[in-house]
Amino acid sequence: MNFKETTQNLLKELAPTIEKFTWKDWLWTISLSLVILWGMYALYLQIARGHEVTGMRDNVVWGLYVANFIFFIGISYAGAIISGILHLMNLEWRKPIIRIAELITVIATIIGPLYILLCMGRLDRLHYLFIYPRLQSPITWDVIAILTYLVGSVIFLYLTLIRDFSILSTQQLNIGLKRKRIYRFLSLGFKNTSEQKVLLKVSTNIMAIIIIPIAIVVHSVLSWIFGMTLRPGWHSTIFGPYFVLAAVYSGTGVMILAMYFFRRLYGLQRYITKKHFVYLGYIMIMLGAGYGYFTFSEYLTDWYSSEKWNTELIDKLFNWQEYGGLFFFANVAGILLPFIVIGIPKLRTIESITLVSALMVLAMWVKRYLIVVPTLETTLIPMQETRPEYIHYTATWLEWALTFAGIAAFILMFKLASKFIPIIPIWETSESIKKKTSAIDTNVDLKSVTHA
Amino acid sequence: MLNLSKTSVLMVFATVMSFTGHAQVAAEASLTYNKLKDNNVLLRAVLTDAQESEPLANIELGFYSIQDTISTSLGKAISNEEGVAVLQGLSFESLLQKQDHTFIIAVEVLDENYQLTSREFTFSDVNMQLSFDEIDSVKQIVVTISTWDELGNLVPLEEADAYLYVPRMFSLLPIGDVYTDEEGQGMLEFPTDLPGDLNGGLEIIAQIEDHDEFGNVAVSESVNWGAPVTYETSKLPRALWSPDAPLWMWITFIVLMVGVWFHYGWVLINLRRIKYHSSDSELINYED
Repeated sequence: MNFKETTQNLLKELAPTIEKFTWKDWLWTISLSLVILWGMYALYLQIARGHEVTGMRDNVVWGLYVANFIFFIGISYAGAIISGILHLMNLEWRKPIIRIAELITVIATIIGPLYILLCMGRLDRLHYLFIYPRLQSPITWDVIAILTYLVGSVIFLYLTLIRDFSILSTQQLNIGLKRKRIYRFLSLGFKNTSEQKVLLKVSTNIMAIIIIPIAIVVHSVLSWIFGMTLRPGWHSTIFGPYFVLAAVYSGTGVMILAMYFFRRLYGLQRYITKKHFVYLGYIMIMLGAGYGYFTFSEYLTDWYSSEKWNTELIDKLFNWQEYGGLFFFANVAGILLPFIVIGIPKLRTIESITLVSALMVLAMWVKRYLIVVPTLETTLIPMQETRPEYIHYTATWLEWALTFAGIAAFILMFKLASKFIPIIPIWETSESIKKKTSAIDTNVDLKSVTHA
Repeated sequence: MLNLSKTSVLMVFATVMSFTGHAQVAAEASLTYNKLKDNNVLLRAVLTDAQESEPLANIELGFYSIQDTISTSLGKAISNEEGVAVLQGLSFESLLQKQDHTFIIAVEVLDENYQLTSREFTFSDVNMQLSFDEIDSVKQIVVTISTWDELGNLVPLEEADAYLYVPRMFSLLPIGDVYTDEEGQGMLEFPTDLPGDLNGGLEIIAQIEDHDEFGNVAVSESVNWGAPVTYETSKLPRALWSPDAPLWMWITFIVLMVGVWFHYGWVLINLRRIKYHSSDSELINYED
């Protein structure tokens, strides 16, 4: 079977996901839209009545929103690690899952910063960030870094889509003329000529290289918003690499979840195999080891120094009446559990790896919450005669509604994107299949020559 | 304003018992009269429980100026948690005065639980003037204080204390005090090293403080006796806290941004070239 046939066979298999919008798709879309609408209602109340309707007050000025922001920017790392590093390492097995990774990057980078907007008391002054930027402010760095990262991620995603757009615009698909024209426009007339091949390869390599440092800068800058603040638990030199590692780690977890989700939903068992889950699982525990080391190092130094406010914070994290339960969960499910499940071969199944990834992702979200809230509750200036809600943060239903709306928007955008572009890269996966079959044919030929 | 006029105080106590059918509270009131340097008057009454000496809060008090049978309302004020009720913004001219420049101010509790017949407090006006002499390079402030006799004639006030200040940013800087002689005059040698404004201008305030008869009285005059001070506004250095970011920060930022966006630009140009190299053929070249 030649490359063209392989491509056409793969397209035939994936075509239904692009051609049809089934009742299941409608059900997903409507359900997720309802969650988003609920969030929009909460947003309306927040704008109409002010931030008083949230749990944020004078001391705890950040809550769920900032935890969500760090979380989404973190998972956007899946794209950087899978698409960038694995692309440069030229690993064949990455090809079927590369698109999922790139989509996670772009969508999470769009959703994440929206939570910062929700934190702002005066949204009407948003443009001040651009009109009156202060280069000394980590907030300015963050705005610039995230915008640059988003642009880079979109370009990178687009580069890997061009060949598929070209196939979609030339093959017989039941998608309507208008959509075909869009594909043709987006394909830039790519016909895989020798010049085009070189240009696309060079461009993809450039983006694969450059997206990695950008991703590192983005999350380092995000960590510096905390690290450069004189607060217990934040003011730490380790925060840059700690955030970067945690981000890649959680991104890999979300990647596994997305793979499981699309594999089941679109019947992609032939392309997304156990090998992908196991390999990503290996990457995950390697990152988990680094993340666990950073976590231990961070808390050990804080605890050992016995500095007043750090001790106060550590006491809160280890107190079962306060954050002890969440802290325990964040470390057990976020560090230990992946090691046990992926480390023991008998436990290493697709389902178990997915389950442990889901728990790890949840634990990483909890960890972000534990970075933001307990520190803000540990004030450097003693608070006296203040209402308890000013010291202890409790998220209101509006904040939860907007949190779930963000998650719903993430899934919905993913779902809708998968209806427009193949979730498995057709060209690259066909290349991979062709290489595999060529290798088998060569082996057969060699064997027959040897026998002869 | 209140700070500038903190001079004489007259405390008069009034004990009142009323019997209007329900439990009555005995109250004591004291009044401080302050004539400010802008010729306005500030009245400060303190209301306390006569037996417990505890402040009486949230009680409305009426203030009146009285002469013979004429009573003119000056205004009302409510006591705070410390029992203090303040009436301010009164012009000195609104007080009814006798020929000898004495005047009576009455305080009344306007609350039926504290029925209080009007308590009267008598004060006298005082004339205080500042003059500046410079003899043999020695600068002297002369404070002249006079009052009025029964016939309305101005007479020097002997043996009176007056305190002198220069206003600084947060409070009054005391520069000394004078004690008046038989001519009602007191002198103070002025320090030579006080910083003034651009022209050496200073405001001098003289105050009679806590006087039984005159209360607190303040006057002020300006004189160019200070050391001229020029405040040069030097440009802030480039720093984290100043409007201009440190240079290294700009360089790092520009290098990073140019580096990244240059590559984006390069890729976008490549995309354009991909379009340029497109063939007319509808078929994709599937060959390696």
